[in-house]
Amino acid sequence: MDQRAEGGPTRSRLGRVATSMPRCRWAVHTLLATYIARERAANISPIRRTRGARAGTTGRCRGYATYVPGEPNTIVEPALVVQPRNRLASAARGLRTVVDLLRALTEADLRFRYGRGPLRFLRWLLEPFALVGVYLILVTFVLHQPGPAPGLSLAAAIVPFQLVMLTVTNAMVALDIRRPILLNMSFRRDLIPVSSALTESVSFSASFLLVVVMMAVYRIAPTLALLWLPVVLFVTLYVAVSAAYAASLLGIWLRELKPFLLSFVRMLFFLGPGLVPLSQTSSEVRGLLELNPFTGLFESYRDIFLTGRAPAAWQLVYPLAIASVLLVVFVPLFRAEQRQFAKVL
Amino acid sequence: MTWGLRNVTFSASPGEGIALIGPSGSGKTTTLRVLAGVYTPDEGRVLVRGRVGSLLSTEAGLLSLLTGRENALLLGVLGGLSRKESKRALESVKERSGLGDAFEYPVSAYSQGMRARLGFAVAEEAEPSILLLDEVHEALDHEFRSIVQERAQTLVNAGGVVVATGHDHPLLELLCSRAIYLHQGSIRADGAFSEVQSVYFDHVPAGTHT
Repeated sequence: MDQRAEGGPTRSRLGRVATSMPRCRWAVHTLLATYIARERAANISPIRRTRGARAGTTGRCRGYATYVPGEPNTIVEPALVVQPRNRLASAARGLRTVVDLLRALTEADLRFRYGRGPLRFLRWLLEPFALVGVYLILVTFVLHQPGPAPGLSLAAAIVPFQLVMLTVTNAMVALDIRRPILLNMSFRRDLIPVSSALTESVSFSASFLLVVVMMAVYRIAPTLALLWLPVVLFVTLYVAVSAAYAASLLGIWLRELKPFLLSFVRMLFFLGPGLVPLSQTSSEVRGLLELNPFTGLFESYRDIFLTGRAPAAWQLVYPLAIASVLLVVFVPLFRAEQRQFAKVL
Repeated sequence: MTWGLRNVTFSASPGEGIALIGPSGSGKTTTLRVLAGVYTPDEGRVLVRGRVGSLLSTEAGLLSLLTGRENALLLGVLGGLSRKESKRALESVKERSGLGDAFEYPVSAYSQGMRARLGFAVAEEAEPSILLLDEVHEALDHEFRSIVQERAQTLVNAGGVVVATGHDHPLLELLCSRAIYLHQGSIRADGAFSEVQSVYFDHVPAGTHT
């Protein structure tokens, strides 16, 4: 739909000049700036500029008013406005838009997750204990597990696993939950899986209290290895985001198999050094366990909180590589499939 | 293969109100969703110049568990406003929707008309130059319907475009001077509202049209 106003010959001439002579770009820009300044000075607003198409916007622009020299009261809409391209400003604007979108999606998701009642903070704090606390109590106080601080060792595996597991669970229904929006408007749908991971990161942050409690129970003091935590957290979030893209699509493609998909992810905890550290597994299966991307993550957290060592390079590089493969496969698939979302939801 | 839309070609000029009419399943909603970017066409292309505001379902794009305010903030950002702009616009959305205290209630407690009010107020806040309305205005009460009508007319007068669907032809005629009659995903007639409407009425069984 072309919503250009009837501009007559002046507009056409201006449009041709702007498109055919690149050197005139600055001139056109100057004309725009002049007009806007005049408009402001005269305190008139004969044309409403649409948001998102204001001075400084690069690329195709709409809704601009153009001041035509010699015709002070003539306002026409140009066929095309070519402006000097400021890549940095454009990138910053794009980033801000993405951040705004992610924040809005995540905040809405958190409302779904925790509600809006006065007890939502308590729920956030206690949920990790409710989910896995019983296992920790069992391992820490009831069973006699070999090795140092078995409760902390288990917590170090459960904490990152819960982020990925909950992200997958969230991502599988993320599109269904947002069905009314998806059917009503167009927006960056490829940010929805990232939003699922961010939502669960909030829950993840509370689960660190488990680790703190376990460290206190076993009287293990933090070491300098804690400096590796931001790197390990980044890798964990990266894995969660990659899993979210796969889960979102599989949740649409294989609706009926959702419980099995979740079971598969849960199985990876037990087919890795989740319950016991890698060092306590038999040497025959150790090589196989190392193929599980969670193995590196679990061991990294144990290194940081339990043994006070820096994580080995493979522990971080391998999950990163697997997650990258997932992203390379599923992000383009997600982008291609999103055109069908409104039809299948 | 059955196509939702086939060989549908039309353009809208600034200041035009277009009604899509036709029986249920004729492709009216699909056309609006393609225009809104909700569906990507398998073939052909859509060229949209301007910001699109849309109300394409009775749910009006609202999430039931969120309050009116939370929905307005979310939809504002998704609709292209920055977070700051969307936040700043909240009071205006509240006022325009006329929801009063209900603005703070979860949308699950809203009637269909209240949803449509909020959806319209949010869509309007993003200052669209193209407004797409899919039968939503038919859920509105008389008071808000006249407000919608007035605002749609203002948009058209300012050089915007309104594309509306519905079965309430007298209401559509107030909003749109032009109509497109869709049948089984194809255009049967395109022109002045009254002419296209009579073509449509010639095709539907007597006594079934309003």
